[in-house]
Amino acid sequence: MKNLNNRLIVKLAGSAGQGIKTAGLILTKALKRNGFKVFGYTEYPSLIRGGHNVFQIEVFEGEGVSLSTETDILLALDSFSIVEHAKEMPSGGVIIYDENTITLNAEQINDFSSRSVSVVGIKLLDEATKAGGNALMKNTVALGALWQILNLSFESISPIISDTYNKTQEMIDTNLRCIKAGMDFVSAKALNFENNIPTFEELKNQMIISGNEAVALGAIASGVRLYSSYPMTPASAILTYLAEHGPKSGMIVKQAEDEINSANMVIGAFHAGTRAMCATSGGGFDLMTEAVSLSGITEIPFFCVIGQRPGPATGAPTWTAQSDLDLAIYSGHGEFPRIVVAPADPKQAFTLTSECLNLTERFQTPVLMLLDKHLGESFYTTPVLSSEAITIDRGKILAESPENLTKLRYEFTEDGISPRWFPGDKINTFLANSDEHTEKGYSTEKAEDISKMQAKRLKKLNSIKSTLPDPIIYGDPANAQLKIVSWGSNIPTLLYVKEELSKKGIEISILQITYCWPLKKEPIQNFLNGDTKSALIELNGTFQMGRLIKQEIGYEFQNKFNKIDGRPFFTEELMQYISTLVK
Amino acid sequence: MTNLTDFNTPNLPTWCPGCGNFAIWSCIKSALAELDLTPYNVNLCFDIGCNGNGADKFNTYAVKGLHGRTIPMASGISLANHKLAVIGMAGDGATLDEGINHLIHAVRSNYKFLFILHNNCDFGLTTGQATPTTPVGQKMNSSPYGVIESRLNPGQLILSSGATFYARGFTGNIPELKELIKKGLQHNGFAFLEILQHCPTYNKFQDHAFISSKIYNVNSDPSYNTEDRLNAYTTVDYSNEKIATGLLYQDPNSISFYDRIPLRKGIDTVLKDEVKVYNIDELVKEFI
Repeated sequence: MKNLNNRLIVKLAGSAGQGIKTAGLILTKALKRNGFKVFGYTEYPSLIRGGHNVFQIEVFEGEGVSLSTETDILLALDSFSIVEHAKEMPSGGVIIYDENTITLNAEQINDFSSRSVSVVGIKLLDEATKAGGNALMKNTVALGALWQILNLSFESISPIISDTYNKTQEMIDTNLRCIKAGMDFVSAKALNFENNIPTFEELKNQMIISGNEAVALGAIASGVRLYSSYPMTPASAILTYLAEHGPKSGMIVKQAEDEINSANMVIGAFHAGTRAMCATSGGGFDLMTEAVSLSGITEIPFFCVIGQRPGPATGAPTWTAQSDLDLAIYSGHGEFPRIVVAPADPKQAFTLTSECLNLTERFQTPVLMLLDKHLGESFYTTPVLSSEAITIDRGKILAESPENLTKLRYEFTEDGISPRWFPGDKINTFLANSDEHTEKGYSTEKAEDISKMQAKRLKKLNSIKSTLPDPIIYGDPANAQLKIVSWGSNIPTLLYVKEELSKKGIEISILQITYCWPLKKEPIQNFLNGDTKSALIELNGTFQMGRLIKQEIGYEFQNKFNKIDGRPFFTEELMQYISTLVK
Repeated sequence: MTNLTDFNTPNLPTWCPGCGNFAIWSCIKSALAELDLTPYNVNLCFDIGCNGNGADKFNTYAVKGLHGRTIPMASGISLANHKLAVIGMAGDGATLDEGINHLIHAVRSNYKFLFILHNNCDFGLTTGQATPTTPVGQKMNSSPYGVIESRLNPGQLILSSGATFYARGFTGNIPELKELIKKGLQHNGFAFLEILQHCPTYNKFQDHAFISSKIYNVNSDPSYNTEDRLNAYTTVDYSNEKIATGLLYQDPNSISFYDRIPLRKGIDTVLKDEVKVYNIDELVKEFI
C-alpha cells in the first residue's frame, strides 16, 4: 500500500473536548521512542468544547520538519472530521472511524472505494467497555488501532501507556487491555498497510518538546527566579509549565492581573537583582510597550517572549503568523537600543532564552524574543536539552567595596554600559529614574545632561552590533540555484524542503535571520551578492523582514513568498514555489 | 544607629510652599531612621506627579517608574528581595485612576510593602484636574462645571477588597504619621496608608485648616478595635461629620504573598541571590 517518499502522515481529528491533543501527544512520543523522527502539529479553534481539533503527526526522515497538506491515516472521532479530511487522502490511505458515533453514507463509501481509501469502523466505546474500561478510554482503543495499522508491536507501545496512566496498577492494566483491543480489532481486518519509514537508534532517547516548553526549560536553567505573566494564547503554555514545575525549580510564578503589571514587575525584579521574564502575544505586548520604554531609559534589564498570532486585535487567536516583527522592533516611545531575536525550533528557543537573559543583563536594555503559534505549540523531535549548554553572563556587576561607595550608577563609559549593582548592596545608592537623569540618577532638564545621557544609551547599540553572532547559513550559497532568506518557524520546514529538492537535483541555500534587530548588514549582503536568484519567505502580509533588509542594506527582493491565512508554510507549497523559481 | 540626615540628598525640594509633601518627606526619613534602616536596605518607588518629584530627595535606593505602575514595580522588588524595606508612593490620580487595577490585586496578593497614597484630591503637576477623590460638584481645571462622577473612598475600596492593613494619616499630625509609617513597614503584607494632604495651589476646597478642624485619631479611644473590618468601613465613610485617622484596620494574622508560597517554605535566601545555572536533567525526562 501507500508510502510516499519515506513520509507518513497520521491525523487525529474530532471535536474539542474529545482528547485529541492528549492522544496525539502519546502517539507522537510512542513513535519517537521507537526511533521514528516525528513532528506533531495541532490545529484548534478558540473554543473549549465542540470546535474542530486536529493533531497531525508527520513521520519522516532527514533534516528539519515535514508539514504536509495530505493525510495517509485518519482517525476520525466525529463525522465532520471525515467530511473535512477524507479529501486530503491519496489512494492507499486508511480511515479509521468511531462506529459508535459515526455512520457513513453510501456516497462516502463509494467515494472511498473508488479512490482506494480503506475504511475501518470500530466501536470505540464498545471495545473499551469489553476491555473493562470506560468512555474515557475510547482514545486508548483508537491508539491501539492506529498502532496496529502502522504494523508495530504491542511491546513497543505498552511502556508509554504504562507511564501515562500510572495512577494505579488497575489504570495501567485497563489501558493496556484497551490498546490490545484496538490492535486485535484491526489485525482481524487483515489490513496490510506497509510502513517503510526508517527508524534511527539515536532518536529513541531524544525529546518531543514544543517551543514554549523549551523556553520554559531555558528560563529555569538560566536562573530566572520570577516569572510574571497574564495568560494569552499562544504563550500560555510557558506560564502553565513553569507554574506546575515551581516545586522543582523554586521559581516564583505569578499570574499577573494584566500585562502591564507583568512587565513592570519583571523590571522591578531585575532592578532588585534577580532574573525575571514574561511572555505574551501581540495584543498583550501592546500593553507592555510603555514598560519597554521604561527599561530603555532606566537601563534595567527586561526580557519578554512574544508568541505571534494573526492580528489585528483579537485576530485569529489559535493560529500562526509572523506579523509582529515591526511591533517588536518599534515598540515603546523614545529612542533606546534593544535586541530582537527569533528562534526557529525548540533547541534554538532553549539556548536563545538563555542568551537573551545574558544580553539584557549585559547591555541593560530590553530584549524581545519572537515565537509564533507554530513553534510555540508544535512538537519537535529534539536532542535532549541540557544545562551544560548554559552559561550565565550578568555583565558588569560591582561588588561591595569602600571605593564603590561613591560610584555613580549611570557613569559615562566608553561603550555606554555602566557597571550596576542592586538595592541591599553597600554601594552608592541610586535612583532608577524614568525622568532623564544624571549619572547618579537624579532628574535633570539641562540640555547638556539630556543629550549626553541619550547619547550614552544609544552608544550601546554599537556594542551590541559587534557582539551579536552572524546569521546562520544552511547549504553552500556558491553552489545554490536559489538563495532563500527567512526566519523563525519557517526554517525547519525549509530545511526539509531543501533536502527533498536536493534529491531531485535542485540545490538551495537558506539564510536564517536569528537576530532580527539590530540587523547585521555584512553577512546578509555577502549572502545575497552575485547573480544567483534570491527569494524572501515570511508569514506576514507586508514582508516586514524584507522591508527591514531594504532599509538596512538597500536590497530589494525580486521574489517574495508569503501567506496570511493563519497557517504555517506546508512542505508542498514551498516545494512548488521553489520549483517554479528554479526551472 | 542611623539618623534622619542619613537619608538626605543635596537636592532641594521643588514643592509649592505649604505642600503636604514636606511633612511626608520628613516623616518617612524619621521613620526609617527610628527603625534603624540604612539607605542601603531601603527601596522607595515613586510615581509620576508632585510626590514623584521628591524621588531625588531621599538617599535610598529608588525607582521612579511609570504613571500608575508603582505597585507592580514595588511588588517585583519586594518579591526579588523580601528582606528590603520597600515603600511605594503615588497620588490619588495614579492610584485610583490609571493604576486602580493594580491596587485591588496588590490587596488580594498581599505583597509585603508599604504603600502610601498621597491624597490631595487633585492632580497637582498637571495643574489641577479632578481625581476620583475630588468631591462631587467641585469645579476643577478640566471639570469647569463641577465634577459629576461619584467620589471614590480608597479606604472603603480596599477594606472591601480584603486589605490586611489600612491606616489614614494627615500631614498636619507629624508624630501620628511617622508612627503609621513605621507600623506599615512592620506589617507582613500589603500595608496601605492614605495620607490626607493639602494642595495649597489647586485644592482650595479642603485646605489644611478644614482638615485640621475635622480629624480625630481613632486609636486614642482604647475601645476602638483595629481588627473589626466592618467598623473600619463605616468609620472612614465620607458622610461622617468627622474624619477618622490612625490605624483603622489591621489583620494581626496577615501572611504576605511571599510567605504564602508553599515552594518557598524553609528557603532562607532571597531571589536576588539565587541566579545561577540550574540542572534540568530531572525535568527533561517527561519529554522523552
